[in-house]
Amino acid sequence: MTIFNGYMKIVRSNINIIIMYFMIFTMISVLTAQGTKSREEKQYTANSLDIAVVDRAENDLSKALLEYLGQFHHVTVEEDRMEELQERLYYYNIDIVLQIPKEFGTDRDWKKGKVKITEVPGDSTAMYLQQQINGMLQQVQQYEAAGYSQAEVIEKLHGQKQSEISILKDSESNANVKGYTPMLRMIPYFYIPALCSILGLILAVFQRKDMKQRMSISSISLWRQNVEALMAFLVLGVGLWLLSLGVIQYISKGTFFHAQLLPYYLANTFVMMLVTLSLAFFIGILVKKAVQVNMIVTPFSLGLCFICGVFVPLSLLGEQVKRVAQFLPVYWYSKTNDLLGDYQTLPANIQGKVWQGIGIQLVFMAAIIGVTLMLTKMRQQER
Amino acid sequence: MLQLFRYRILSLLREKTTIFWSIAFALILATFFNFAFSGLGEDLKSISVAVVFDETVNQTESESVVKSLKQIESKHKKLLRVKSESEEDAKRDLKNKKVKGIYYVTPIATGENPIRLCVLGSGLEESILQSVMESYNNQMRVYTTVMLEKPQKMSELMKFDYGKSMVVESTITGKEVQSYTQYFLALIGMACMFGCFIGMGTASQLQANVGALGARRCITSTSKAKLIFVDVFVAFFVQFISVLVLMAYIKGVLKIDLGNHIGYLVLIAALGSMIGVSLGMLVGSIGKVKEGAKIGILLTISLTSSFLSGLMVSSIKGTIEQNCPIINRINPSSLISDALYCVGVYEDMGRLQVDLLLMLLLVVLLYLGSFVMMRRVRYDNI
Repeated sequence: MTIFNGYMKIVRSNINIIIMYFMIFTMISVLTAQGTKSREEKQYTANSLDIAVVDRAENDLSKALLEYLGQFHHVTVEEDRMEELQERLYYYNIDIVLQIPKEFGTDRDWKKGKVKITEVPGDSTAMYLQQQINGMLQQVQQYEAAGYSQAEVIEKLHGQKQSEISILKDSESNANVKGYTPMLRMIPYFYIPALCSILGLILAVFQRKDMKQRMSISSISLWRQNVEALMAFLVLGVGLWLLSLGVIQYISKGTFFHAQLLPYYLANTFVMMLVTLSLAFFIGILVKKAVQVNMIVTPFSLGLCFICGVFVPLSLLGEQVKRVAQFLPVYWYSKTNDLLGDYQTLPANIQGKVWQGIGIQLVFMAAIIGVTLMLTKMRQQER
Repeated sequence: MLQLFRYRILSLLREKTTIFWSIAFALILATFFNFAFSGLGEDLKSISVAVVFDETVNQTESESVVKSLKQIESKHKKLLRVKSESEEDAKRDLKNKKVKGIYYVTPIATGENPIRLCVLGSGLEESILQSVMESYNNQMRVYTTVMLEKPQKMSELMKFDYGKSMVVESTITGKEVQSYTQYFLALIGMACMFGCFIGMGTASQLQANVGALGARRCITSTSKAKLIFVDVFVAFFVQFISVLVLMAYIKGVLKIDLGNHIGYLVLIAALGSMIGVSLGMLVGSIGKVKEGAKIGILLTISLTSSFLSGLMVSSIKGTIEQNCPIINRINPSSLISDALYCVGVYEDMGRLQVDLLLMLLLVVLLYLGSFVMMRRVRYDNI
């Protein structure tokens, strides 16, 4: 176990730096998870949008419309400063800007008085609001067509009974966001930069010319050297995995360890950690300096996370992006995690999909390790 | 002096891998971003919904309900995929997520709302189903009211055009601003900040107690001030070029709108690069600290700064602006992305000047700090 001990010695001598790396990526992934969580919760309760209204009409009908929308949303009437509103929309501080024109309600054909609606580009919430506004205004038009005055119509709208909605009980499915889901989704961004940076730091020592030469003439075979290196990595990986579980348990206020699907979550995160170790091993043998590791790992980890559903949920990504992402292990982690997030208990057909996702990640891991071992062998022969 | 520049540039260029990655990492990331966001904002697909009719609803009435639900459109696409089925099948489909909701339909004449909705939980699609139901129930309410109060007007009501929309989608200032532009602006901020690694390398090679090269350079007859000036300038120049390449790639190839004020864009790239390099020099000049630790410190600062400017979660900068705006005034990445935002999106030159002034102040402070750390250092033992 000489090689394994050698790795552990380097770990011990760099322990402060390793702890620092753990802390950096814990902090960033927790903050990112919290940031995406608040945005997502807002998106998943679309019946409560933040709407900024510029009411240029200020007539009874516009007030009735705002009162109607106020039953479902958080509506604020703003000054007519459109650039400021654009900025708030751009930073997601509001969901929709509604402009009510001066002619609103005065033109019976509704050619001039149409309500202008602006959403964050790429969002779909406007569709929902459009339905509501059209529904209410069509009702006004119908009453007017039947000979009622606008004042009578507004009076009738006041006393309207709301429609009934129920939630299906005894369901295995779950449509709401669980407390630990955002942090679990962020796991690849926690593991990949942290493990790659730390292992890159350690492997940089073994990339030194004198070290390579000494190791190549040692009696320990290349196979044994690689196996012992992987075992040393596994120790670090398991440490990070346990740390991540502790962080998730803390963030979810103690609910994670009581989750009914805990064994599946543990399996999925553990396999993701193994995949990350294989990636770190691969990157580690490619670079010669510790500073280069970060230059490679930063775009690699951020890019993977963006196209594989870590920062942006898979459901929002385009079909073409998902087709490409299928060839990356992080996609299968995210997909499996999303499936687990959708259910309280797993039906048999979904269990199969979960194990398939975990299995595909293992295949990726084996392939990456295979390629890395082949590269190390080729490099040794080159020397 | 020219020779010093020449050799410094040559020695930096010989670090091929470092130079390659310092330019390539941001280009790769920008390509990833562009690809990831290419499908974002595709219209919502039609929502599947099951309809369960009460036994008392007759066939004509049920056919009419299904027909009117199927006719609803949004953005010229059918909004709903409707299938009529038994309650048991509908519940099974809802549990298996084959449908997003169940509409239970009762006869209109009962006086109650004719449609009620059953869903699994809250969500955008569930909310749309809710608003469709509200619209339908409200229309039916109008029919029953008019029937009771003004039956002679029913014929006019029947002619009503339901396809007409009273809402129009528009942009605010006439300029289409994609929400994901923020990610690219934050990325340019991050690329500037990553100049800190070149700055750190430069500082290390100016200190005798860090490496052999530093030791050799410290005993040359060339004055240290000259060496520092040349090293800092070359580091800045390399970083500046890599940021300009990134900007040109984002604007020219990825077609992200960064505005047309090229002069301002170059100025922002210059100040941003100076911030990155000077930060690296400050941390690099700490002295005999392990390289790994210095990298860790720089990585913490640059990644946290990038995170706070919205690189991972685009809404974070706006939230900070509302709750603790001082962070956005001192965070280099936020200042860079905000300055770019002023040029490309907001076209607010007053705010841009404030950003540029704050960036300049940061540059002066960071360079002053690193010069103070490096000047007049004497070594008894290295």
